[in-house]
Amino acid sequence: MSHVDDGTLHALVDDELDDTERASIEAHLATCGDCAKRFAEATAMARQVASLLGALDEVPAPVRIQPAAPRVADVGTAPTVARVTPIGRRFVTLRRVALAASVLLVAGVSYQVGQRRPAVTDGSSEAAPTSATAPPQTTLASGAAAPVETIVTRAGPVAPDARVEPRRTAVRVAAVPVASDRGDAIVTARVPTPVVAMAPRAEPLTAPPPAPSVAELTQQKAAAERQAVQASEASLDRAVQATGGQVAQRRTVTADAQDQQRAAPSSDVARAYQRAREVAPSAASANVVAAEPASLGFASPVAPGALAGYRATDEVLKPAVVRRRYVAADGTTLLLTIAPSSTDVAKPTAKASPEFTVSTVNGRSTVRWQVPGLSYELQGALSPDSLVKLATLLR
Amino acid sequence: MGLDLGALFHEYHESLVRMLTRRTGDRGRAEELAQETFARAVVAPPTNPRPWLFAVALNLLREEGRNATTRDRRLVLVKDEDHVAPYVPPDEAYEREETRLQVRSALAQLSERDRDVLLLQAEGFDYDEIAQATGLSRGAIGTTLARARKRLLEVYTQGEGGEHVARG
Repeated sequence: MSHVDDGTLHALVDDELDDTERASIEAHLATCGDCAKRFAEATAMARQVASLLGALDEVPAPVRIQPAAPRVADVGTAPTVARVTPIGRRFVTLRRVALAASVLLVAGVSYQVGQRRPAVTDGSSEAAPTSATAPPQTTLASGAAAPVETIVTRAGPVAPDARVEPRRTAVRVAAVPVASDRGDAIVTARVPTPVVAMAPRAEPLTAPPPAPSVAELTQQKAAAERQAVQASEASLDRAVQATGGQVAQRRTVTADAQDQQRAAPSSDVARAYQRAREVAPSAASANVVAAEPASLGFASPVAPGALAGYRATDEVLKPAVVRRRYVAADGTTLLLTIAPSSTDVAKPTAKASPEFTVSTVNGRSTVRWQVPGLSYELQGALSPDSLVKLATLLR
Repeated sequence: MGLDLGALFHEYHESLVRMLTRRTGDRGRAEELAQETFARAVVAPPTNPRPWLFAVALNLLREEGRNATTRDRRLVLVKDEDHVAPYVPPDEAYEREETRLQVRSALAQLSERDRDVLLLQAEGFDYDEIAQATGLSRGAIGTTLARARKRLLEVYTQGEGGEHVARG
């Protein structure tokens, strides 16, 4: 058999060949090293392209991990017959949970700043517009000159008797320039145990709405999305509560002079976050989704262990995509990206491989591997061999 | 009639807006185009909605594009103002924006056909559906995708240069 053309290889990657065709191509790949290599390249290409296109997203891309999170109320649809929803919708809730996680974990209720400095409790909640029953504790680092101060507003703890309106509490967060030699401060977000009050789900509209217009549907959908974010956050709060109110989310605040330019937008970010919080409660008067304790689908498989000599920092890169940055003492940086895999759950035989795929571009190597439902990608400026060794440790 | 607009909207709106956002770089415009697309579906109910909707949306985009070729660029610069952004750490946001711009510019260098096929495939279209939405033959889809993927990565990698080498 002659070699396989690119189009066919890509069709194989996309699982678009019929059975006989696929069998014959696979038989060929088993004996032809060149084509097998090109197939591996095509697979990698398809994956890279998918991830690049994902970088353009503001709308969450399809994910294939079944969420344990609650479904959003189907706003605006006629009385439903049980229906199979397409991928794009079915898994959207997980994305929202992850998104909420990224928001909440990083900009949570209470900040404890400073690893090597004494933390001083600062009761300054004068910015709080209402007196919360259990005001969140705010701990601030002391001793830094001219702290950059940002106000983060967040829906505060809601008393069990509160109906719908979440109380809003302003929390002061100080991004403190650190004068230590290393210039790194670890910010740990700690979420106090919030009580989630959910309104009983409202009755559906009195009569099935006759043929809503496109504009109405758009509005309803936007409202539903806001609710989803809110509900996800509520779920997250509960999940956090269930684990003792501790969130092990750390992120590094850069305070090097050279990094200041990058650190500067934090107030913008805080504002954006505040905006996000301001929008969310507006949906609270509509029917609110009951929140179940959510297990964050992406969280559990995310910890493939530490690497000796490397410090790991996790970031939620996109909803449901986590990037772990390993930094060694000498500055060597490895990036581990863990993303839901869009292919191998449905077709474990065709795509799942316990093998590492290795590629090197511009002296930078990438090792990829998969487990059902998740794909891992480890990148670093190391030789492919070293990187594979590290990947083996992680796997 | 026989068209359940609610169901149609529920199933395809998000995917359509995502595809259009990737294509245009502008969420607001994507939403508008999606609305217009659904409005047309009311007028002329499609039998095979998914390829139909996406084909109509892409056509609308082309029509619009003839009159406003420079609009893309201008809108990219202002678009993040309106909608609510999730929290992103600053350095991450920087990196992400960088990547986004590079991908956008790489995508812009593909032929329209390659780009459409790529974006439709990314929305989970199978080759039959892509063929229906684009008017290409099914047999050409694999080849088109192979070329489009390769080209996108080439252009993207060139744009990226050696910039992502680890510190130290």
